[in-house]
Amino acid sequence: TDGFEEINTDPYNPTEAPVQGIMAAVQYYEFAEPRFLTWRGNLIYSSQFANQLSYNYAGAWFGADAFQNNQGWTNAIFDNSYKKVTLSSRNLLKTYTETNDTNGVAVSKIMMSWFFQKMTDIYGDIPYSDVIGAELILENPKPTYDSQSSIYKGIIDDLKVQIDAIGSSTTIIAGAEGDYVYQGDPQKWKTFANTLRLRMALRGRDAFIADGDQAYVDQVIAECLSNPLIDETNQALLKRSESALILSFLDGGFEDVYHGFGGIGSKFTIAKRYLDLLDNNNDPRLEKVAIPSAIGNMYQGSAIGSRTQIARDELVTPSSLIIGNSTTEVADIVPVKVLSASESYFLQAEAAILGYGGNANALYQEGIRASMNFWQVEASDASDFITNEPVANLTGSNSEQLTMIWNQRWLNSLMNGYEAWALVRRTNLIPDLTDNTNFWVTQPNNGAIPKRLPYSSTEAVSNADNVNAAITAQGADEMTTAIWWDKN
Amino acid sequence: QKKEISGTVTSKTDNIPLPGVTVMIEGTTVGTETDFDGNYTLKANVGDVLVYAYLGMKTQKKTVANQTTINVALEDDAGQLDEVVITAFGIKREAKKLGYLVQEVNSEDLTVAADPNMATALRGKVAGVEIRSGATGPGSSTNITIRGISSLSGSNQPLIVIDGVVVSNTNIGQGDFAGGFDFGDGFSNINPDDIERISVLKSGNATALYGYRGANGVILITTKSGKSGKVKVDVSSAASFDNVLVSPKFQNQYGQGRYDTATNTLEYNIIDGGSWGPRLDGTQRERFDGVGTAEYSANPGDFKDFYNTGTTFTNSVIVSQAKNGTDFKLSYGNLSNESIQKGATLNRHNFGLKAGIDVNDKIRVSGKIDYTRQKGENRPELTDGQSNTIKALSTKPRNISNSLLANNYLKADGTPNNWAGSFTMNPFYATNTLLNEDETNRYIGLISLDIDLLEGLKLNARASQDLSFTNAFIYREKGAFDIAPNGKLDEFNTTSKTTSYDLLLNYNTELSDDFSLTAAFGLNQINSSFKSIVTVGETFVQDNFFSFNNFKSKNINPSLVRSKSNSVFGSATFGYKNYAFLEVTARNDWSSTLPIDNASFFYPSVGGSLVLSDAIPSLVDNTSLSYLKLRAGYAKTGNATDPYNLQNTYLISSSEYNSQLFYFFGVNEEGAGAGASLRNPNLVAEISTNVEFGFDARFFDDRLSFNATYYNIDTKNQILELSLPPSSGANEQVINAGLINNRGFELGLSADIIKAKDFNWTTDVNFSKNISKIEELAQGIEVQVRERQFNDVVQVGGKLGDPLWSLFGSTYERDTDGNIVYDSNGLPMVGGIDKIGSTNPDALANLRNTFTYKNFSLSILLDAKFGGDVFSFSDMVRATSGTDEITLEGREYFTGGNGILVPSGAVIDGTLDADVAARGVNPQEYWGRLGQISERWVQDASFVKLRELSVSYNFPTTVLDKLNISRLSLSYFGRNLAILHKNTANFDPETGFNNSFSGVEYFGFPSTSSHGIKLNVSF
Repeated sequence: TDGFEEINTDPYNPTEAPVQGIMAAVQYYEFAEPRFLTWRGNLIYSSQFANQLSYNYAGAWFGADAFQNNQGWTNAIFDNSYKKVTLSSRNLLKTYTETNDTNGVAVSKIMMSWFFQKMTDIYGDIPYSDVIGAELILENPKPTYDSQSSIYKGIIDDLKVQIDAIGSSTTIIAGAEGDYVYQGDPQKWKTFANTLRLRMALRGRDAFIADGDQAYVDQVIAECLSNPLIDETNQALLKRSESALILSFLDGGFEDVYHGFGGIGSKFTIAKRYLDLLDNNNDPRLEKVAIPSAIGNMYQGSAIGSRTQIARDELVTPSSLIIGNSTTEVADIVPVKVLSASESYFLQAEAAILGYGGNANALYQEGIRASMNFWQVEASDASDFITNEPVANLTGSNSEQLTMIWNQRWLNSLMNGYEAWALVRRTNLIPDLTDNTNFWVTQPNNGAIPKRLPYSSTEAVSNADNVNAAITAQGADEMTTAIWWDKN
Repeated sequence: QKKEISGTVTSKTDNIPLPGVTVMIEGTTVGTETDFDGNYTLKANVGDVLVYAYLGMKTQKKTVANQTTINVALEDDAGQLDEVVITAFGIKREAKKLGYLVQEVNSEDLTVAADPNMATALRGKVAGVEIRSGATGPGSSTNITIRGISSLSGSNQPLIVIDGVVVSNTNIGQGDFAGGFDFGDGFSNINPDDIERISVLKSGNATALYGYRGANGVILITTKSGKSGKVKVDVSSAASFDNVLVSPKFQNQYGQGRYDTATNTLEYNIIDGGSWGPRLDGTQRERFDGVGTAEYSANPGDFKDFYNTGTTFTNSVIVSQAKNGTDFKLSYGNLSNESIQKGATLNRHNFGLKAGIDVNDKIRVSGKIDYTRQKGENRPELTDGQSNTIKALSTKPRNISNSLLANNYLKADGTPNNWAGSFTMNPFYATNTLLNEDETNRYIGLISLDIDLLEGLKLNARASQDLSFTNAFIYREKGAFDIAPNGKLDEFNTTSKTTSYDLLLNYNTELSDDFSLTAAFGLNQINSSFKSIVTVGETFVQDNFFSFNNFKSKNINPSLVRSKSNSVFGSATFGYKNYAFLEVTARNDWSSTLPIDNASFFYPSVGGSLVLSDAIPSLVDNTSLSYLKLRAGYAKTGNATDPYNLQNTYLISSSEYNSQLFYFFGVNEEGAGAGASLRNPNLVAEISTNVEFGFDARFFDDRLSFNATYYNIDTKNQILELSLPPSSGANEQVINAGLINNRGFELGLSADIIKAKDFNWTTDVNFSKNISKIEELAQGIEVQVRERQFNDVVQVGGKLGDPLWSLFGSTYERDTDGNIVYDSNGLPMVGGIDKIGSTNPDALANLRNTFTYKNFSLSILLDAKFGGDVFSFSDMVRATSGTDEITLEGREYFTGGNGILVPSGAVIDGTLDADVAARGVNPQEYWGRLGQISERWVQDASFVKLRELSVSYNFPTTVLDKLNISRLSLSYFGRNLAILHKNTANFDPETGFNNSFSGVEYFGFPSTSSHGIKLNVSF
């Protein structure tokens, strides 16, 4: 048996990793998403459900009836998100735990919370409490599904624990080079955690109140508002790689989907509602996000669910801020918005309207300004817009003002379909389709924006008992079943 | 003092020389065989007893005295089929001494239909062996399972040993769900004409001496060797012509387009890839690519017409001689295959040299070297790959003709001219462009030393190596493939090396008049390594110049997998009065793949046989029951694991993302890639328990023989890549767990139904049934998922309490009484995910009838599989794209008539829409819905095939003598001539997805039926 151990050691792949390498993997897979995930989860589903991006044109690979479930894609989002993110996240937590890097532990837990919020918003009840430990191999190989309310509460409470754990420490975490977002700065992560907490508290507010937890949610919101929240000095942005990514191994995001495949089948456009909302209000972001159609030079968008399929050349093309110029010329692309300053302002504006204090209109306008800044609108154009356009001033009833805030938050969330979809579900910002002659008003959703995605059929085979328990608790495993926070 | 004995063996009945008679020195492993003229030469001592054994003849013994020539005439004794068989380590042993049945296939039976792939040539010839065919022709890989599937995650393939050399059967590449090519395996480049016989060792007792590498059975191949005193030349040539066996059934009435709900009309539209448009009416309409017009009419034969008649030419020359203690064999074979798919070719050259020399009375040195060179071009792409022509022809709108596509396959810019639709490619681009090529150079070498140490004690030492280099390229021109629009080159360089060293001591003695002992002791070491370097270049610098240096992005991915094992083993066979035998074996292996503290594992076996027809005096001369042997065996078999299963290793991203490399667990960095397999530092060897018993009986003077074997194999605590739910974050974790039980029986029957002077009719039947059951999985786990790559439309997995494998997928929604539930729009509703089929066949059977009349012989082989399901992606896609014949139903809906009617009395969820109740549903919507219900596409995969047929004529000696030829035969043969029974309308139920598992079909390359001519000449 001499030499056996050496023979049985892989000479090409290491058993140890630098912590920044693990951190970088977590952030890339969690925040930036590789092409496969982002195409299905962010583009085909979320961004179309949210009426932001569209694959409805002649020659597209994807059906005009965007509110259909394709189980393979649905599985892909669930399975690959969990497989790409959670194991590395646990490994990162394990690494920081073993080295007693308390700020590192807190940061890895905060990042986990962000991920599980995204996932529960897509599916409702999901495995959470069993898969957030610091061990690679789970004690129970079949994770149980937690209710969404307990996940929301769990995350909101855990974020508080991590905020307190960081306290006033400014000790940069190990592997800071791999932290694309905040370069290991624990105070920035603390602010991030606080903003994420506010986002979740507001999203879950109606449901908490319905569950009799008004005092709890009020206290959380008040706590969030009394602590630092994200502004333009500490937005959570993940810069896309400025150089070409190598091959399809390390695939990119929207540019890879758009340019990386032949034909027009993959060349998504911008949805009609999105372009119209910009166009009708002289919004300077219009020309930042869209290039007029090749034929007709129009800012024509594609209507989600329309039975009429317009030729691709008569529709806008997303700008190079969204898709770069080719798979290899990607320097223009704006960063991934993990949590942006404008969203932070819109959250605060919403809280202000709901009576938690603050100047709603000022916050609203700060949000618009931050969003325009993000989309590289000249400061003077942004100021003109805020000064001159009625849409930039909150007016009307509380509910009208909330709708204005939500619409601006929705505009701001372009490229983060998950957040946009969650927003439109909670707020009913976009009415159901009812005109069956001109739109696909078909089952299963009958023209309503899907309320969730069905569970993964992979899980249904390999984790059947727990999936079935979740279905029993949550309701039928269908796109029409509203999740816990979707109260109306 | 040894001397050379030679002689001729003839048949007593007709005095014709008998080739292939085994001549052995009794009690030893020394022996030879007669050549085609019935001649043999060997060295023996005075007093040695020579045993002459031949299929169908009574064995004779002659004692060597002073003579140097011993001629023997053997008497017919049909049924004595397995007198001497080849067992582990190539040792020839009398079958009656064995506690297990060794089934052999001789050269004649193997090559009767000139199948150039050795593995597929074995189909239907051995009981209990399931051989999944090569996907794309003779050079493609195959998958063999013996006595069912016992491993839940690892390979179930048997060990292959050629002339004592453990050879690698590594698969260079197969398609996966996203496409790919089958570049063949270790089996696919062996020359069948050079094979003398194949022994299949199935039981744990039979494979005990091969240790854990033989845990899935052993296929023991003996190649031809020099036997005749004079130089002998055997030439064999065959030509065969291959045609598509099964074509899908298409509809030929409607073309491209769709139903416009706004206008309620069918509209022709080149943008719609499906065949849901207007009725084909022969008018001129816009051409598929928007250039000019084309006739809008049906193309009924387009699928079959696309494929050519494939040709396969095989030639083989073998020169051999055995004289004065030396023997040699020089062989050359070639294969030249043009696939039914234009442009796809395979060329193979096999060179072999095998030689031995008696250095003196006691020492013999022998060895061999084989060299194989194989070159493939344009192997057809599989599954969802864009250049898969079956996929293209299956989804191609029915109005687009082959000739239109062929004449316009390129656009002006040199890229393929495709019709609308996702990931489709003009199939003529695929056949007119070099898309891939591969070359394999393989060397197999052996050197062996035999020494007679003492009376009855012999030593054999040998060293061997199988070394194989494969180089393969996949070319993607700019603009041709959606997945690589800027051009791409994949290059694979692999080196596979298996080196083994054996030392074997054999001792034979008569303990007393009644008791004999044969004992063996051996040492063995095997080193295996597989090195692969995959380089990928993407985005051309200069367009379509395929060189790794000519790409803007480049990536190199090397890997090396190594293992080493050391073994000590021994066996002892006690014989009593030549009718009762008991064999015990023991083996200890040390494997590098296990933790160092658990690397050693031991396992024994015991087996015995009792020849009742010799033991019971009243049966000795009984001719109605001429032979009866009982046998039984009990064996433990150990198994180690794959290399690198003990420690997690990180994968490092192929490039930096914002100046930082990622480290993560998993298979690849792409989002779609499979997840991590978590390793385990505490693995122990798995041990399976085999019990088998059976009997061999012959009746009516051996004219009828029958054997039966029952076996029961428990594979327990196996080293398993336990599949995990994705929510766990990993794909699987390696553990010791589970219990798989395989039990079943194998029956063999041979009969000389007619035996007359000029006419003989013999029948051979094999029947086997295997029942597998997953008795245990890991704690809390009910399903072990084997494959989940098909976008999860279907999953292949093992369910606790069920046989291997089950199919899982979406079901019809059913009410509590099991009725399909329809929604208010009249479409069947999609239910939950559940088991939708089982791939496990109920039984395998084959039947061969051989008729000889004078110099003519006719052989017919039927091969059957009963039961087992297959899920067809192809049928699903053909239906949803409106090309399948079944989609004709209800097309009147589009012109105001009835669509697909909801069955009367159907269970409706809610209230059925009044219009739907009256005239049914739109067929496109109907099939679109069924495309979401996987259960609909599961079909029974049973078949009965006319596997082989041959008619041959042996020229009479009167003619041959004038030509100075010893043998000349000419035959017609056919392979896979017809499927006599099947339940799949559109494809051969043996068509697979790839060879890793059965039960899923996805635009598999069509199987072929072949006709050919074969000529054998010996002089």
